[in-house]
Amino acid sequence: MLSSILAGLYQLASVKILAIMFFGSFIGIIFGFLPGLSGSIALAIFIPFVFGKPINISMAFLLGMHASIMFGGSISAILFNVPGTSQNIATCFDGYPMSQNGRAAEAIGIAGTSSLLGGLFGATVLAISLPVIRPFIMLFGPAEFFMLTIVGLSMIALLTAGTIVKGLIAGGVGLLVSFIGMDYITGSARYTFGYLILWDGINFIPVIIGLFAIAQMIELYVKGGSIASRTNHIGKSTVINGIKVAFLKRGLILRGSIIGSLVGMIPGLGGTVANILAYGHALQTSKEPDTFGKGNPEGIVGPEAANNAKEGGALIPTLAFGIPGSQGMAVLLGAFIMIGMVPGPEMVTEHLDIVFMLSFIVAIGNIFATGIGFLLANQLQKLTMIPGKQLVPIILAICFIGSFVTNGRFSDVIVALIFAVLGYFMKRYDYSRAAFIIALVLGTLFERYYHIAVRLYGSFFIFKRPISLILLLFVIISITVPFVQSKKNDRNNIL
Amino acid sequence: MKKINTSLIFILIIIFISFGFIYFGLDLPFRSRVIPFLVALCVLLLAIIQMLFETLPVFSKKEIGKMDLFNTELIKMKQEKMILRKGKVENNKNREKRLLIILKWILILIIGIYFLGFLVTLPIFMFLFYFIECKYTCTKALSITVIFWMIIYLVFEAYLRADLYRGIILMSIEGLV
Repeated sequence: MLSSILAGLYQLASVKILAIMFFGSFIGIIFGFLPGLSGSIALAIFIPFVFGKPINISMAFLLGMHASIMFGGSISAILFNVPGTSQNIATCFDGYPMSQNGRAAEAIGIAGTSSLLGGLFGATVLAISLPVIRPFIMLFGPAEFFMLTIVGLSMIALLTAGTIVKGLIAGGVGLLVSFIGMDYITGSARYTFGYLILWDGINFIPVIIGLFAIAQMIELYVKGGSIASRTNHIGKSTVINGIKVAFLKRGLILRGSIIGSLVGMIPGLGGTVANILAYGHALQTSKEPDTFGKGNPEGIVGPEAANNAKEGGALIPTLAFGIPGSQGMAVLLGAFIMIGMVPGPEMVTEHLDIVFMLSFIVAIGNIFATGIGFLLANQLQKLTMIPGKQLVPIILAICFIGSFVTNGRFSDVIVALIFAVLGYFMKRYDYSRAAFIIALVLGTLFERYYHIAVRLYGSFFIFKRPISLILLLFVIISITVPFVQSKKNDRNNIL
Repeated sequence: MKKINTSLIFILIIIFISFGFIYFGLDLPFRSRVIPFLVALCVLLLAIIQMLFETLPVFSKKEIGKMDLFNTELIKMKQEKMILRKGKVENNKNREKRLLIILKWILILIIGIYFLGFLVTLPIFMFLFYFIECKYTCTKALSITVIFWMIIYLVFEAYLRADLYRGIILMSIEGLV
């Protein structure tokens, strides 16, 4: 084992490889920052550049870049409410309000530290658990996946505690939108009205861009002024403050990382689910749940730790079984095969040094990404002081390009526009956009796994599978406990 | 003229959407329609409840207003409230006006992209926006536009080869349509 660890480290021990990794991290941050350019697109673009290169060089670049994309996405989520990737959705909920409060640099500091620690945790999990993880992954089937989506959907009730009816309406509409497209169970086209482009369902990226980014630009123009309207924190908001705050929340970082790694290990759920679940967990365990959505640092800590820890977790099924856990991992799997590395059980038995090398790349890539982000944070914070009118045309242009480049379809630009208008009015009338997006992301998985689970285990499948039952109890407890506690607090306040 | 409550219109749109999902799902196989049907029904019920929440307090306020017509304290408070409301109405009018302006700009951008594509529309849109909306000088607006266009071109077209949408006019000229 120790010889494999040293061999893995030795393959990266050169200034040239570290420089390549640094360059990869920088590219990754830019791709993450620009909406619509996801990790899979970045990998697809750069695979030809590393084709034929030695495995340590090609992986240092590709994986270093892939590990940095998430943090790049969180920077645009914090500064402009534009989640760079779909896995940064939850970072918008509290990151952008922090920017509005003039605390953008602090928020980037929190996101960077949480991402770094989450990424390191994910890399450690990858290195330690790969040889022993197989039985754990096999425990999860459609019934457990279904219950995990229910855990995610139950977050809607917690997120919208003050305006529960509006929150449930928003979540319901999100679910309805997720049902558009081909039904994989019966093979029939639902709510497509004969349009072929709707057969694949509504693409998340234009919806997210419209609902959050473009709607925010409309709001910014209508409201006037700049993003950071409350500038009293500007002088005090530094990256160092953010790092301190993140270290104070180290327990939450650890829990968020565990959630991220676990979700990453399970193929088919993805980083968006990890991000949302971690946000819900942060909200549930917070001492100040009322401040969530208004700039609570815990709302950044949990999701950012989770989406970076997910990378290490997602590499486990990709490397051990050749099963990619996400779109990005599928492209990475292709890259592994192209450069002559065949994922499968032999990775654990014969190529353990490569597994450790990949773990080190994930860890070092995260360190580089965080360093780059921190160096730029104070300058980036100044962007939030630019008058909205001047920012609006640039951000609008980038958003519409981002909507288009995901699939190369003009219809996605129209989708972004429709959801921008919807997002603006949802914000104006206090309907939770977070609830909408959670339901949209989980809706397809929820229905698909429900039907498969019913076919496999019958209608009462939840009670037949122990992990499902545990998850059901978790949902019940997680919904009821906060309500009971708030009632208790109300009663105590009256007395 | 009585002011239309726009939040109620928003709820009515949600009710309309839920009805749509129920109606258009009727022809689908049972397995395909059952979950959308149940969700749409729940949304419909919740939207009706929300509509009641938003309309009932309006009625009750009117009743209170009628009952306390000769209460001077209340009249004073009402007058103060009316002044505040007047300011709010003016603010709202301003907001609606600005909303229409930005939506108009976005529509121009989308229509432009549809006909002329990204690379032609974006510089025209940016120049006009900075020149008309931000009241920049011609030189300043032009220089920002040129810099931004060059970045977009270099990053997306030259480097990433993203093949940005060219618009139906250019595509028909190129014989792609």
